[in-house]
Amino acid sequence: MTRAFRILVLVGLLGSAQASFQTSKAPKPRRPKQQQQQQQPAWLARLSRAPPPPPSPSNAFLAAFGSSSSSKKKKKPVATRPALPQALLDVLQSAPVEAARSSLAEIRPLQVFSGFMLAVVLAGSSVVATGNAVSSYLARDGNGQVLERALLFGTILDNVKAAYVDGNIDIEQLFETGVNAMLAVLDPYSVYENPKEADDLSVRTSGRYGGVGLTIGKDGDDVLVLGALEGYAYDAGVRAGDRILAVDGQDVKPLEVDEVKNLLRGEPGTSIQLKVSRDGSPTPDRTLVMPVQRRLIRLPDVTLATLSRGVGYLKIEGFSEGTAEETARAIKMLQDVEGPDGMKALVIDLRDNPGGLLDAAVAVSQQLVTEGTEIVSTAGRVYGEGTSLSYRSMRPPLLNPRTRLVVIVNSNTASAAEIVAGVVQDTDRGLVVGERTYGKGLVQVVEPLPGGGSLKLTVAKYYTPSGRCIQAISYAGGRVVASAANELPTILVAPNELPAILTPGTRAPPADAGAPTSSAPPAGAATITTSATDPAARQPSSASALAIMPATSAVSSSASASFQTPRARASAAARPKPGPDSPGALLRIDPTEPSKPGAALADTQEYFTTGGRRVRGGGGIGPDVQIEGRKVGELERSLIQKGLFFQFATDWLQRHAAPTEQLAQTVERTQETTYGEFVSFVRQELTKNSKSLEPLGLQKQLDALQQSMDATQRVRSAKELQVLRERLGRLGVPRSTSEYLGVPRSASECLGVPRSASEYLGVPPSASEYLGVPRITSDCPADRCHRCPLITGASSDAHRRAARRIPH
Amino acid sequence: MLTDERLDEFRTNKEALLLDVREALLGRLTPPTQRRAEQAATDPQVQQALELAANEAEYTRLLRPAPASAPAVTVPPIADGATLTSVQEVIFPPS
Repeated sequence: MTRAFRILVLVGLLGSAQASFQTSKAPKPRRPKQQQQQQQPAWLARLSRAPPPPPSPSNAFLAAFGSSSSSKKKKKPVATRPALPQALLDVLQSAPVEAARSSLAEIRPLQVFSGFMLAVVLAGSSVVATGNAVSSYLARDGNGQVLERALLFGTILDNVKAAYVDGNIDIEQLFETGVNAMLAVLDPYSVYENPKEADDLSVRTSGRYGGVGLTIGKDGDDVLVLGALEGYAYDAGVRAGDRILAVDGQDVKPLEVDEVKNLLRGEPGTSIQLKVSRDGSPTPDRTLVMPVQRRLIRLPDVTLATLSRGVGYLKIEGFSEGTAEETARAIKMLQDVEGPDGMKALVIDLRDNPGGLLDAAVAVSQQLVTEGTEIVSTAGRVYGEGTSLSYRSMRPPLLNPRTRLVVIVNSNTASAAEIVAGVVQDTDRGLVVGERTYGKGLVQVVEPLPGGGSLKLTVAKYYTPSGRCIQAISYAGGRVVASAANELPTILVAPNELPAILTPGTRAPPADAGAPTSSAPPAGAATITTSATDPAARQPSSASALAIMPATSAVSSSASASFQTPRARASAAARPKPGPDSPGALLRIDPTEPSKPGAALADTQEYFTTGGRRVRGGGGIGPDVQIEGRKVGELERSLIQKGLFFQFATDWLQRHAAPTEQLAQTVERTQETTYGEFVSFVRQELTKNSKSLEPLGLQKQLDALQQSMDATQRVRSAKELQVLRERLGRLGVPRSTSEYLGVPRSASECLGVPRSASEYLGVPPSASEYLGVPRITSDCPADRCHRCPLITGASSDAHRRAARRIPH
Repeated sequence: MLTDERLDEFRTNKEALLLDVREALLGRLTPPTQRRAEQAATDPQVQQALELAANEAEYTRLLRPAPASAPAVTVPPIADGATLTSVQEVIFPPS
């Protein structure tokens, strides 16, 4: 009884807390109430689907005897008898008056008492039944533990607010920190987003907002234009490097970037007056005033499409709602060129593409591979145990099947971009060249929360058509486990714990591995294929597994030996060197030198493409042909980080005032002289500021810290360090003004406003998102939504939710 | 301060640094699309990818599966104490 009482108190408290939160914290509802109900968390949905709870004793009594205040007003007093129930009065009113009077006269006080007692017994039974149902719910799957912890969290927050030594406690900040610290234990991609961040994410995934099309940042007190979008602000005359002085006459110097962003954004169709200062401008005092119209900005994902000597080139920066349409338009444009210079081959550049929407990646892949081809499958508990969700192409490819296809990737190609590269390679539709990809194969679902925030939660892993798991690092159980060699953290797990936390790609195949999925080519793009086996275990042939790890028992029971002992290293060294005719073996990771534990096991997993080529697992997509990119040297990195290229450009333009076209010609004509000026400039700057050119890179310190943490098994910190290292390491060849300002690609997103999609859903922690054919809605037919366990019903809201599934 | 050693680096890294100087300037003077097109034209990865795509014979060869080769690999035993009698057979010592 005490337990039942506690449970009721818990539910009551949580219910009241939820109600008060919704009323006090929801300044503006994000969607109609009905839609909110569809998007409620699963546990809440289960509760709401349950039959309505029986009325409470008091309500049952009121319902039975009609003594509510409303009924009191309606009912008329009947002589000197006690008030009769409204229901009874209604019956009486509908019967002949005489019959009614007669019936009333037959009612005795004992009958009234009996009725009352019956109602009390029924109400009591209802309470007990409700208690039992709640008890059973709480006992199931640890639901009670979750509710208890939630209540405990609330109690702690309450105590802090009431009694902490220093006042002015920001409960919101405490809550956010607490929740994100909790989620950080899982993986770097599962995060709570406050309402502002949730709104930003919405802009990034949709790629649309009302504004002028500027990327801005702060340079000291100045608000600097980092990028002006062509078709929008660029066409209005704004240029990268301009310093915004005023918006509609309001001085922006004292404002924060977010405040300026809010001034720039607004209803499409309205316009603003922008006053900027431009280095090199021939106008007096170098200021320019220009009207810029606000429009519905569409951040482009396909940023370049060219054709030269029969070979097309397409640069895709990310994957958002409009990417498929943009890609289709570009492919069509290139294919429409006829004659000897018509397109015979296409190069798709996915370098530095951090990913974005899963649906967008599937829709782009559909344009490349034949109808019916499996594009990607995802597996996670959310689909049900042993069930995976398989996406297949549901229409003929837009790209002519005879057109040769080459995809360029690098270590910053991640997530949704890896899906496209993976399907091209695994189906032998084309070649993948460049460097091994990042290896982010985790799906996140964005769950709207009361109050406008959202929960981005990892719910599944991706698998390429051959069964390779894209994910390079397993975060199982809050521990980092590397499944590829280079650039990955040392395994931080006791050897005897290893079998339990192997990633799917490295798990030993179960006894029934190899059983094909039973799915026939589906009508929709996505089908659920129920299979008893892990997708990762489908493809690797038993022969290849034997050749590498002689017996599956060795994997499961002696994995520690294979990881730790010199003998394991010797076995790896004895493996055949990849031959020149073995394209699938041309990996960045050299399997003969497992520099770190885990490498030997992970890299040896072999898979086969449709045509029988060998490809390897280990996280990410290994290129068929390795092509190294231009590397950024230490000196160059240091100059970039200190913003010296950008500062020199400012200085040079201030000294060479002239019309823009003329300045560009001068730059081309005087490169040698300009370089000399640059070296002098750097020397002066360093002398003036007593600075050295040591790179800001904290590589040595990071390495030392990593070693220290490895020694102390501080696993969580190690994960955070790994994320930090990844972010710092992603400084590549600069490609935009912001990067010459010293703002690295990944960090620049925090500077706000419209970035090129790529910098939005950037790879990792904050870490990563563009016209044509299938738009997200048209690409998501109703039957598909019915099949998707993440979506119940094919409402427009369900489509939107599907669109927000983000593979990060 | 720039040491002599650092000044030497400006000479040895001139090609890459000159590209950066040029891009830092032209990035503020020319349209982003033009910049991207010019960057792609000098990008070694893009150029090699374009060459491979244009070379039908090489492209086809790389897409062909490697000829089936017998797994004549002598892999030492992985598990401690196990002995290997053939490529596909591992005998574990009696426990």
